[in-house]
Amino acid sequence: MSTNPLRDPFRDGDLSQHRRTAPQLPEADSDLWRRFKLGEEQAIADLYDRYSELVYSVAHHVLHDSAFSEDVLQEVFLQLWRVPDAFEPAKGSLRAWLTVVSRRRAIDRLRKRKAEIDVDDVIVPIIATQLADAAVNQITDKVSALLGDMPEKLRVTFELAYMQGLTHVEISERLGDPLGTTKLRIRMALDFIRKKLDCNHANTNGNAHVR
Amino acid sequence: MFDRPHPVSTDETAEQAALYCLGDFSPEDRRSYEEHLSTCAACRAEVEGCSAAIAELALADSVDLPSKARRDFLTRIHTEKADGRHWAKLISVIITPQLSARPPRKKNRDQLGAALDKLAGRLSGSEQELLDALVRAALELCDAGTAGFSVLYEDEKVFRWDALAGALAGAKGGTTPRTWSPCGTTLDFGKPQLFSKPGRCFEYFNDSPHQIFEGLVVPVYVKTKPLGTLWIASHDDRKFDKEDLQVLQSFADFCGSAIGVMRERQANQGADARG
Repeated sequence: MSTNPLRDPFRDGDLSQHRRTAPQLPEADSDLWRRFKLGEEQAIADLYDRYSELVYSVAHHVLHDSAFSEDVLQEVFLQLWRVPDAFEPAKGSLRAWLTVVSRRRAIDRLRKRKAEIDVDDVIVPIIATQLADAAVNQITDKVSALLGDMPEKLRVTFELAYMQGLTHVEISERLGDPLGTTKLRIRMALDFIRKKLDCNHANTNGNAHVR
Repeated sequence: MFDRPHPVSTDETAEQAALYCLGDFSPEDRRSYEEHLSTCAACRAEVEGCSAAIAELALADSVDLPSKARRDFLTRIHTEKADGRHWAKLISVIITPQLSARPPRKKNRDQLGAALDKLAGRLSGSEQELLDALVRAALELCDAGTAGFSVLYEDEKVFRWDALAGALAGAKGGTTPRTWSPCGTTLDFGKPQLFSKPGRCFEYFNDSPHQIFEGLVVPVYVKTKPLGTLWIASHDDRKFDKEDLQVLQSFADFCGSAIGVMRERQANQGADARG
């Protein structure tokens, strides 16, 4: 066997055999992103396959409407395709960026939709109530389980922010709470969910660590 | 607002990250915060945590991703990519800025004036007669290989070569698409364009027995409505200059006004006959 230190160890017969039989690990986002930036056509399809469910789901939890959520899905990936530099790896992960962008686009669309509805004074009260009810009714068992044992005041504040896309200013006005209190509750609610999810993962993995 | 990196995570960094991830920030605050993220590891970590919680909450529900969404998206990007290729090709054959850089031929304004006078004498005839005379004059004054008038037929989305003189005269009646032709591009720009070997972009020209070396195309309007384009082409190494453009533009302006007058007169005559 050669002792050349520059030799690629994976070219060794035994190791290449091992590589064929080893389970395939998913490609890292950084590698997938590099392929995309190099203009490899398959890379955008791979990115779509990896993250379309996330983008659609994030939008759906705001919009509660399949067609509007699909629009957001298309917009987000078209933005990525047309302006790849919109995502800057130095500012965070692709998954975080897609989550934030999808949510923001969904909220923009929701506000536009509400503004259109508000034009007609007659139907405002009915439709606005229906939208709010629809948002609350969309909370499924799994989400309820995550939010269920959250203190009431945190949960109400968080649901308005998360499910209805209201800002902390709008929530304060609606609930009559000071701005600082609303911001604190939003932060605490998200922290609560983060801890709970960490616990769930730890239980699933049989690896009890607490955040 | 978010200028200095934070040494460690605090309640404040957690609160900012939560509001940012939930979409609470104004566009200005968002931009400022995103700039801050590139230098602040503590806030990046908070954003990762908050966005992960939002993502997992969203993914807690199983959704039926519409199957056609993937197909629609991939079709769209294929189309955009193809359009991009077309656009790159188009840019490569447009050399309009060269017109002003080239030394112009000797001006012959007497010849131009005489040609316009002659054309003015055609106003009593038909539009077709005027266009035929126009392309003959353009061919002669610009020393071109072919001169043509392409009339825009909006309904059919084509230009038809209704008047031709010179080497390509036999192609009279031929059409080019409104969306993909030197004439269409010129109307899109709304001003004259010079094309170099346009067959590299508009492949249908390559079937012609006379390859086009350069094409100078000028839009023609009747009032504000596009009538079509007046153009000259060379089939050898003849390069057009701003003097050619001046001649062609004068003819185009004359033609637009003349046809406007002819159509108005026709309309008045029709109204008189009915009245």
